[in-house]
Amino acid sequence: MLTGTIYINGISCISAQPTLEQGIQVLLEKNDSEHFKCIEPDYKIHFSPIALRRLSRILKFSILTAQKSLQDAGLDMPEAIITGTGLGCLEDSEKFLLSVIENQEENLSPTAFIFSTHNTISGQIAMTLKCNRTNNTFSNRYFSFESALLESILMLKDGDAKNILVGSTDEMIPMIREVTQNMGLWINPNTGTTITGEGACFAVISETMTEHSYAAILAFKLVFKLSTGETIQDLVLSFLQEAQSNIEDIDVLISGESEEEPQAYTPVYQILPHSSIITYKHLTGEYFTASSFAYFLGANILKYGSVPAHYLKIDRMAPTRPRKILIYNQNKGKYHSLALLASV
Amino acid sequence: MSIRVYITGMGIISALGDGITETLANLQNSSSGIDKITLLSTKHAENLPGGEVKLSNEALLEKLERLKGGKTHSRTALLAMVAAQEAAHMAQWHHTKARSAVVSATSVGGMDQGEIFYQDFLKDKPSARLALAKTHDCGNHTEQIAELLQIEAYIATTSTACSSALNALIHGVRLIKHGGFERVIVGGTDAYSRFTINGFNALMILSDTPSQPFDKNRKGLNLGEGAGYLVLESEDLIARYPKKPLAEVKGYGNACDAYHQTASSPEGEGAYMSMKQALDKSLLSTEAIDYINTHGTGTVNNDLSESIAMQRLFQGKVPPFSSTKSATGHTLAASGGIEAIFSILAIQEHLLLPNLNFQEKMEEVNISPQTVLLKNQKVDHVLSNSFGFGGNNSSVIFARC
Repeated sequence: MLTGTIYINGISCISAQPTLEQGIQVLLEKNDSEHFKCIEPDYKIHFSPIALRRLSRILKFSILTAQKSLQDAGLDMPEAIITGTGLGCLEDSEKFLLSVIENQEENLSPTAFIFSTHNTISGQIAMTLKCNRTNNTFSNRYFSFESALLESILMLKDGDAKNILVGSTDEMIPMIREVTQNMGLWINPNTGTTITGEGACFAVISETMTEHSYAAILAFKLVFKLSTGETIQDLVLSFLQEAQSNIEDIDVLISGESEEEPQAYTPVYQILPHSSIITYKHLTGEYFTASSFAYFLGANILKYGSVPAHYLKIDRMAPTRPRKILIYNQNKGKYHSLALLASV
Repeated sequence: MSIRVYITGMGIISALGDGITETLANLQNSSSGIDKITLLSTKHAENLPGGEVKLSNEALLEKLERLKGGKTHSRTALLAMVAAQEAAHMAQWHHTKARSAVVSATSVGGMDQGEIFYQDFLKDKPSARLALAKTHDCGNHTEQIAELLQIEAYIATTSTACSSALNALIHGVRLIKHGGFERVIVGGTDAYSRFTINGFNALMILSDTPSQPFDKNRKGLNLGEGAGYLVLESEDLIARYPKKPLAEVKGYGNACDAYHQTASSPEGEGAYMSMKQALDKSLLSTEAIDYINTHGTGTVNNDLSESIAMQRLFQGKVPPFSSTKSATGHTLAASGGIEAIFSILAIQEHLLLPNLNFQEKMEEVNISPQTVLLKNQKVDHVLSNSFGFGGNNSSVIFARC
């Protein structure tokens, strides 16, 4: 459990919604791809012909999202770049593995291997910015983004940085979509259809508020597994208590509910009867770093003071002027993450 | 007032030995674990020597006492659990009540099983075993360590190529200093895979003979596999369960070359900055460092860049240094954990560890590594470097306590 005041001073997100260029207000009802595929911009405007050829999708959309969040924060150079990714650079990993098998381990080009490692993303962002400072990558299932955020906050507290570029990214490729579907992962259990998504979200965080600040993170807690007998209601209530907040203070709950486990969050909805409830995975999909979208939503709602109707759960009222937001995510009873966001 | 963080347990498995005792004996005999590859099925088994752990997956599995059966494990996870079990045992893990976490590191996770799955998947989809694919991601092995050591509060995995384990250690230190944890097991693991061997081979940085770090005629690195884990504890926890710590984590740094995806900058900017940060954090002077366990892969590029960075930081008075990768091979994400353990063994046993196979000094610099084992040395502070792909550079300083 971390408490204090950490400001989100810039944030950008690419997702299956037009968030990169239009924020959270515009809804795209139907995404025609087989999964929740990112709505990508025309990369030609942003990258040189060499980079366009060489960089995979995940690298292009991550670099772009990271750059946009820095511009949003009015910051040229962060003192750390920390990325979380659940599955890393899948396109290049598959490309290299295929070449190893097809060419029977002979006469291989190293290019795909070079761009296959998980830290390629943070590394390429550093190279684009020419940033020599701390560079780190976390890859741990549903904590991939959350661990990156935790390490960023710990670094700020450790006095090792003032402004940190922290983010998440994951790409989906057809082969992994097929394999996860066969595993029964990231599907609607009733229909068997995939709910797999992809995307990237980068933010600039700092202990210093600026004119660009969106919101403050007041408390943050990660719990891998609940202790014996502990329920998610206990978890949320003790979190709020440690954060010195009451259930009445929570204007909005941003829930990680997905079609994969539609009832998983109901106990939390029950203890927050007066809060508005927001869900997003029905519009952006499920993936290891899907929960970073909640931070993008939360930051924007607090900055602009309103909740777009398409994210609201229908049986709850829209808040008038949201000041405090609780973010809660979990996956099948594990990887619980909680954050308390406040307006600034 | 900053909380002090100590090491109370260590566990290791590499080509140089299974466990601390065997590894230390082999270090003291200046042995090398570099040999022909015999367990991994690869075309390069004959021509590319490396540091393979000569235990089958079945033999590794048998070593795990508390493991519940019936699961599929990657070799990466098996190596990790064997080393983590030893570290936990030394730190009396199961007899200490503490708020605990695990932070583990890997570069390719369960690729050793993932690549088998993928090959089967290409040939005949239904025959490919999904259980193998489930071990593929980096987080899989960390969940297995957590289960073995009954860790529920928090788990994390770093993946920054060859610097991964030191970044896991740094996250662990910060969890204790600022995150409310009392004890964190940290380290790294990587198993041989055809993916990795062929990747490094395609980059043309593998040597077909035992590697010669810092030598004028060095030809490249030997890959290795293994795992190294350390138990970190807060000073308060040690007060509650009194024991003599093995060493203290004194300083740490992480910087980025931001130069090239796979090569270090000629002036070693990232290496210089990560060592400098670690020194600044430790509040030690450069003179206080008694030994540097270098990254020292044996590639033309790394060893020159790292030497230049050491010369620059230590201003002509570079302390004794060596690369123990000449004995273990480059164990990638595990190397930071394995070499942290070597650094602590050097402190505990008053040793300067040898850099094997060194013959001739590089022309571009004025320094050469420690080539023979020296006993009864003053070794109170050791700097350990791990540098990686993507320009990731990390350094940690360990101190006698």
